[in-house]
Amino acid sequence: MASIPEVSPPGLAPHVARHLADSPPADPAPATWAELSPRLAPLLLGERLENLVDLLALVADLVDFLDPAMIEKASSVFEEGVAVHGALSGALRLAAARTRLEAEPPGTRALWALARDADTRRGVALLLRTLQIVGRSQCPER
Amino acid sequence: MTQRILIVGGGVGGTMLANQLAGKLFREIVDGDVAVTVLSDTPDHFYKPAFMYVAFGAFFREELVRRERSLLRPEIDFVVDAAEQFHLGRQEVQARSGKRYGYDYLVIATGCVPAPERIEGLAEAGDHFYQYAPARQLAEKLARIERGRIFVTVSFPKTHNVPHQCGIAPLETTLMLDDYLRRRGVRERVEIVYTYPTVSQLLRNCLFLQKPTCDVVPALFEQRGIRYQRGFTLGRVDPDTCVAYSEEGAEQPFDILMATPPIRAVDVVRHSGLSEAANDEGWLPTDHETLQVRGHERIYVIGDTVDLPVSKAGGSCHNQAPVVADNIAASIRLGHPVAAYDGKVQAVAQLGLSAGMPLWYDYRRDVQPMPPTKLGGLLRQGFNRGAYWAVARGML
Repeated sequence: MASIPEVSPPGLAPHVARHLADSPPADPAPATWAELSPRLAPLLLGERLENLVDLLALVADLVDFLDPAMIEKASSVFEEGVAVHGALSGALRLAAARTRLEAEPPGTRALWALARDADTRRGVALLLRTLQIVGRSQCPER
Repeated sequence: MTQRILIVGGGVGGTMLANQLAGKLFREIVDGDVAVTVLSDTPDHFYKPAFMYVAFGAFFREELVRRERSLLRPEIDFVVDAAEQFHLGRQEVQARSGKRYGYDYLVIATGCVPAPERIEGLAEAGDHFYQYAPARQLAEKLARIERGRIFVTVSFPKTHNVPHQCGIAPLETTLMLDDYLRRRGVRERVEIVYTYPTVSQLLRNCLFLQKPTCDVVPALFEQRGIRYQRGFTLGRVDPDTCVAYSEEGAEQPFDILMATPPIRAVDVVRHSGLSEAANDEGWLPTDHETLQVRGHERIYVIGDTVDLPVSKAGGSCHNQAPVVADNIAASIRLGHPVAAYDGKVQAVAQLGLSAGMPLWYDYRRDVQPMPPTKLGGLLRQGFNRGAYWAVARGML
């Protein structure tokens, strides 16, 4: 048995260091069935291994269900989510950082100047159009 | 004094890098100590790896393009203007508009361009899938061919140990072509001949640019009835007789010549005085680890413009961008670069129209080929359709 080091390596608790010292050196060879079977035995005895087999069957079914069209739709949803998240979180992050730089709350003139800024007006228009489209979708006649 | 980082090029390398730099240097940008600018000659960003799918009738142009501004974090300044000249002494980039953009750190991310005109007759008689319009032209031909011979050639740069664009693409498209013609029901009447040049980076007389993959290619092709020939370095093409001649003295007739053409850096890089590449190809002498242009501490290069032995592909940019971002951030904060690129490239190869194979390699290890699977194909499809745009945004 390997001797326990007197001083633990930096960052390791004594019991972890002891465990490492007791463990045989890592074997780079892949695990064999003889090594795996004792670890699977509790699952088998507890009738829980079948859950894993069922899970694998479910995953296999899902892979069979997937086709390029479904992947395209799912990817599109993912991209739209990422784009919205990127745009909103980026704007919020930068706006918050710039606001924190101001020691005093902006005065009326500063707010008026911000409101007149072309990019601010574009942002307001975007919000208003979004609300307009949401409102239109709520109208039963159009 | 504001440190100005100027990234020239709004492809995947420049875009990813800009976003990662903005994240890393966010505090300095907000405080006005750092400014990140992307300079691009177009407001649009194309997903270039999908052009090869266009050749097989997949993907509309509109599905492959996004506004570059929408991919960049809001802290980044985006300027549409074409770089025309680097004034290295003055640390300025002269643009087409007449404006000059100053920098403290310059990143060259201008990619490469196909140059079929560098082989006699290739531009007139050959087709390729590395840009949208040529891919559409090839798609029209592939959709119409009923019988004949499709000849596949690959041309490497003349610069020592520099690969052609996207190393796996010729193999991918040959297998996709086989599937495509089978779907059309004409495969039995159309012969496919795949050829590879005598010199492919450090290998000789192979069928791929890495030996482990080269070793499995013959069996892969024989299963599908694809003919192959080693040692065919495309020398010239006769557009009138539709015959391709090799530098080794062979000749091959064709009905469609599907080429991986010669490539070169963009003009502004070729004329920069920075390159020592053969044949005026323009690749920049790149430090293998720091990704600085050799002899220029404050100039970095990313993507297709490097003279490294790794693939000229987005999978390289994905691993180079964090290194360049770390090195520029460290140079600003600590005074010296800290990160090293290990040559890693990863991708999901499209092997046939519906199968894929994840792969990776680096400076020391080659790709270990695995059997292509449906799951691998779906993974690639998911990347093409959605994940790529998250990668460009620097989120993955």
